[in-house]
Amino acid sequence: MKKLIAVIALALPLAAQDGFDFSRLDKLGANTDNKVTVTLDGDLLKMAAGFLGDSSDADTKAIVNSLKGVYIRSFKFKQDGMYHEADLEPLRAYLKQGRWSRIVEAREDGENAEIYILPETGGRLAGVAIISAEPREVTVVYIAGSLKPEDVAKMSGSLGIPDLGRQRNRLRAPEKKAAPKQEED
Amino acid sequence: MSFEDDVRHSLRRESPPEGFAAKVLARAAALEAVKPTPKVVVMPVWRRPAAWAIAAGVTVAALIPAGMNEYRVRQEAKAADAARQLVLALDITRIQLQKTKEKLQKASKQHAL
Repeated sequence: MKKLIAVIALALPLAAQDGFDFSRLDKLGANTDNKVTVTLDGDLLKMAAGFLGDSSDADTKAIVNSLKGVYIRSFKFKQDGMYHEADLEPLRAYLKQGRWSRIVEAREDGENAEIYILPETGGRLAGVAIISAEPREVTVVYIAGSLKPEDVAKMSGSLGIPDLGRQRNRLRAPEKKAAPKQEED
Repeated sequence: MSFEDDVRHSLRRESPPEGFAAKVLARAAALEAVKPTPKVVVMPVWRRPAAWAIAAGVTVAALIPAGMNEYRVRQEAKAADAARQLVLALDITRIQLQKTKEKLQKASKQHAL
């Protein structure tokens, strides 16, 4: 019984991150400050979709609404060999399971790019994963959801998101009192 | 004496003793003076439960809109941040797909040679 509880306790965080614990990849960036980490799932994705501006077309909103999770880990290094290729193995092992299939593998001069897809019925994809490993840069992209292969290209761009900087400044700094108007001569 | 004479004698009219009316009036006045007046207890405002309830209601009514506004602003900021992350994630995805495509094209050219 205790074993069952332990298994469930371990499985819950994994299930919450769509089958793979992406925090396991964070050690790739142990030797750099130049990193991008994105973890968007569930409610956060819905909030992001709700924030898309009016200029976003219905297609884009539908695509974003169909996403279940977006995970990015991207690290850039000052020198070669500052990360361990072996740290990518847990993800590769995960992507070898189930219906995932590697559709692209490109190796060139110490650079390696792999694209994996998780096919769904009706020619759609349930997930896309990209692993790009270069001597000074390593990037992992994992998108889960019900996607058409061409959807990813459609989603790029500003998505009609309004000026985020202004909104953030409004939160950080209290509103300054308006300067008194100078009388015009 | 006959029975009728006894009744008549018993029911004969007699004048009240001297000062009777004055005594009755004096007694009535004395009773009136003794009668207790109802007590009105005036409690301070801070000891009235109803006052507290009204004050609490007014305070809550004033705080709810402010709290709701603060919550809305925070949620908007969270959504904006999520949207910004989404755009960044999709840009990185697009760049990585482009880079992979270029590597494939380069590899296929080298193969052809």
